[in-house]
Amino acid sequence: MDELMQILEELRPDVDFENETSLIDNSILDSFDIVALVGELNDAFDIEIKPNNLIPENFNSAKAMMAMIEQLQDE
Amino acid sequence: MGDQMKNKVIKRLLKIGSLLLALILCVIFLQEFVLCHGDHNRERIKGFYLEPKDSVDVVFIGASEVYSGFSAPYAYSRYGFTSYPLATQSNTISNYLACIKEAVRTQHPKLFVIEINGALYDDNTFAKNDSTLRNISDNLPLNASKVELVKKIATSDEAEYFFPIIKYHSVWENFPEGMNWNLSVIMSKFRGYNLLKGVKSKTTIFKYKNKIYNYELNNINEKKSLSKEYEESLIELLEYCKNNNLNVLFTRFPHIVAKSNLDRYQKSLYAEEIIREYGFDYIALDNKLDEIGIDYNHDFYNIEHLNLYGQIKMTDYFGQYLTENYNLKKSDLTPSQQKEWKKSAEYYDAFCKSYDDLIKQEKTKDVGEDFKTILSIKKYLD
Amino acid sequence: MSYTSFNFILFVLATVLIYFLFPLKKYRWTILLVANIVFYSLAGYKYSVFILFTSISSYLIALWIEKISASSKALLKSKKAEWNRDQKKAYKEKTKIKKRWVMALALILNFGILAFLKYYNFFSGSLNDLLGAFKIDFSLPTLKLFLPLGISFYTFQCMGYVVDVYREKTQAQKNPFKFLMFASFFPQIIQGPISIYDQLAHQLYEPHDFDFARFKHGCELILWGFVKKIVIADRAVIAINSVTANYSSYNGTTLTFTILLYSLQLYADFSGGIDISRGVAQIFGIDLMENFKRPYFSKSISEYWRRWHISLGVWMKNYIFYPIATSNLFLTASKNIKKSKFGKTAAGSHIAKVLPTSIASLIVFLVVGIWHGASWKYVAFGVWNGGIIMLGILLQPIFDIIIDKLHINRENIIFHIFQMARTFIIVLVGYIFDVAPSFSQGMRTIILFFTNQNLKTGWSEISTLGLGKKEYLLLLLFTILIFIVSLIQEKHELRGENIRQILDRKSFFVRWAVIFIGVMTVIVFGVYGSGYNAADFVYMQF
Repeated sequence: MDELMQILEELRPDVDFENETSLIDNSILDSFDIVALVGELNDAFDIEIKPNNLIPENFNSAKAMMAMIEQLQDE
Repeated sequence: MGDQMKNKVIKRLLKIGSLLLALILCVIFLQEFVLCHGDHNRERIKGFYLEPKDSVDVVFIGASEVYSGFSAPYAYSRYGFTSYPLATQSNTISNYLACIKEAVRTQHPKLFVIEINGALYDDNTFAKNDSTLRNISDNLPLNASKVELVKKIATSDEAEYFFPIIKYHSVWENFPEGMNWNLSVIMSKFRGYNLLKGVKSKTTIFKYKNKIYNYELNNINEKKSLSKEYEESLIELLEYCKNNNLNVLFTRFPHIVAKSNLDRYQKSLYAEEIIREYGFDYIALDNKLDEIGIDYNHDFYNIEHLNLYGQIKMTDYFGQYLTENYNLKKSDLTPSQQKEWKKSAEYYDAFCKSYDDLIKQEKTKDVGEDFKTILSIKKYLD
Repeated sequence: MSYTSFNFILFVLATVLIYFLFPLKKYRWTILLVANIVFYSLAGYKYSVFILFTSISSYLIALWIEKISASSKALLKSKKAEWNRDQKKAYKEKTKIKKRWVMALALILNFGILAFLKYYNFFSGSLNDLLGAFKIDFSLPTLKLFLPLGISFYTFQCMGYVVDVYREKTQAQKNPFKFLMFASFFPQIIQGPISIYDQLAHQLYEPHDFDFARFKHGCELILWGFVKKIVIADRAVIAINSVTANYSSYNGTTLTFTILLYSLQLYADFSGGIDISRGVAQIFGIDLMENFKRPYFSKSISEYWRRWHISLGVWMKNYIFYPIATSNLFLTASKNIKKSKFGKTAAGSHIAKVLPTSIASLIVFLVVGIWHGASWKYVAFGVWNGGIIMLGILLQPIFDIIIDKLHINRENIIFHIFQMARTFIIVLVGYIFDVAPSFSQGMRTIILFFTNQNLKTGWSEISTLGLGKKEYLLLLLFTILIFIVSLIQEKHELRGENIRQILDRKSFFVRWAVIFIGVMTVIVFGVYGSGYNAADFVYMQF
């Protein structure tokens, strides 16, 4: 989780990832952020994020992202 | 459904109903008085429908000759019978039947006078012209006659004829064009009757060089046949009049007959024959200019139309002719109706005086019952 | 049948009545299906073979893909103990490839039809030009091709569905009629919005009861759509059509005016039609996604494409942008740049980071451009928009530095207005290539803007385009009205409210008056009847 938070804060230091739960729904992160994030997360966690993982449910909060990462690591 | 629910539904239906009602009323109002083609034709036809039921003794049917060549107010003041020109500009005989039916329905007149110039045009002149049809159809109420009239032209845009607002809703772009006449229509509606009974004229004295005078016309006997469509309409008209036992006098109003329009005179001879075959009367007034006392050089405003001087002479003559030959008695009007016709006669008088002045000032104008003209003739009232 | 015709109103009324009076609620969706079929046949039943083909092929292939998944999972389960990890992985890979090929079949068939019908003549024409330039004696024939109603929209919608099934985001629809219903929904068939299966389908199949508030809101939205389309767009298009009929004969001022007018007309036409679509759907209890959110208030081109034709942008994002930007090819390239010497510099690391998104954006907009039409000018349109976005992404750090150095406050409203104006101008340049009949005429328009401005000539030319002074004044007044409405919408968007909900809070008389004035406005100022020529929906040929 710490590693994730570090990546997130480096990408968008202006966003409060600790508390935000509507990162996608409130358009806080845009599609360019997502793509940049995908690259970083793929590298950091050795996973392969596919387009159909790119849904609001998986990116609305840091917690949701962590859940997605763990799920992908299982595959 | 519970009572509370029922109330809610009723309330909602009332709300929607009131909205729909307001919209419909607004559209009808606009279609009738604002978003329409306002001109003298509309004023004249609308004025006809303001006449009280069965109060008009003589209904004239035809085209522009009728409302420029005869004065209903003057005929009333001189001879005591009521009349009305149910006529529009460039009217064609194919529209006459609808006019007659409407007149029968609303007035049951003692006599119809049908001016036949509407049968004498060439094939191409007005046959497919939308505006000559609309001069009549736009101004009829939405009833059986109108439906019949529109169905005759078999167009896919029928809705535009039954609901003219579809075509005319864009007239606001030309505002205030048309308002001069629309205001007059509104005023007549308020007043309950119109003042000049459809009279229209032009302040011009026309001089034409190559006339054929009456004594020359007598030598012209060669007939020319009507164009097929008009002949069919004429026969349809005659059939209807015969089957309904209508009292009809056919005529051709005074024209300047020249080489350029001689064929029309010749067509009128052809038409006369058909009319007489059906047993109806026909009088060729274009052959009686001398008898009527019409001065070629003074009493026309163009080759086809009498001006106001001619109109007065024509009304004198023809009013008497009708009274003597058709047993027209003084009109059976209520006192308030008599007052209205008296007022019309007074306005017509003032109209004539104004006309005189405009001629003297050499101002060429179209004059009729439009708002501006009515305002300008008020000062001539006694 | 145009959405703004009287016949359509009658059609909707009839469908509404039948739908809500139909007693078997579970089967109410069949009424909508019948309505779809009736509507589409009235548009030209000859071409319905295409939408049927796309529907059936999408339906069958989605089921096939799901079957492959299901049997593969079943087999894996049965072999769970038997196979080792590598074997399982290999089998999964094999399944994935099989599914991919099946999906590709659907894509190739249906996009192929679309591409052929839409672009064959463009392709053959350009190829013939090229062959001619090399003096090769061969040319492809030009075919007289017609586009079936809504082909660009239903094809995209169905293909989105197939990909969603492949991605296991959605379960395949087993009922072919239900699927046809989804593919042919009549309020959206003419010009979208392009819907996502998960979002739309269940709404279509669920039975809906009549709800007065929804009916009221739907009618209000339809009314607003009518005002935008019949009063504003159809009027403005008269002048625009006069210009495009004889494009090269007008001066720079007139052309500038025309492009500005076009920005009004395109927005009013498209968003008005969408409002009618959404309003009609709302009456049935179905929510179609918004397709426009005050696009001219955008502060950047990227934002513009998130506010304009939103459903197309969403489709592109889901099915082109993300797959490309997060593909192995791009991610690896990005990684390699980061590792290289160049990647150690500030510029290098930035570029490494944004390379996937910037190139993917360019590709997306090339597709968007071509989607609009078969002509080089649309390619230019795509390149212009995509290029600006790409440059914007690449040069972002430089802009940041400039803004800091100039001590500009990003929250300052003047700065926001500057951003909006800048964006609007970029959008207008794109519109030039929409309006101009060809690419070269488009370039010429840009040149004329700078070299051929003459107010007097322009003024006299503008008065010959078929609209009088009063009508231009009317357009101006309604532009101001739209602007004010947009401001209110923008303000209330944050509260998640729309104007109809605001209207609900006002007194009955206010609502009554607004609707009364709205309907009378359409009746009196609408462009219909023999006084005008009807203007087709701009997007109807797509």
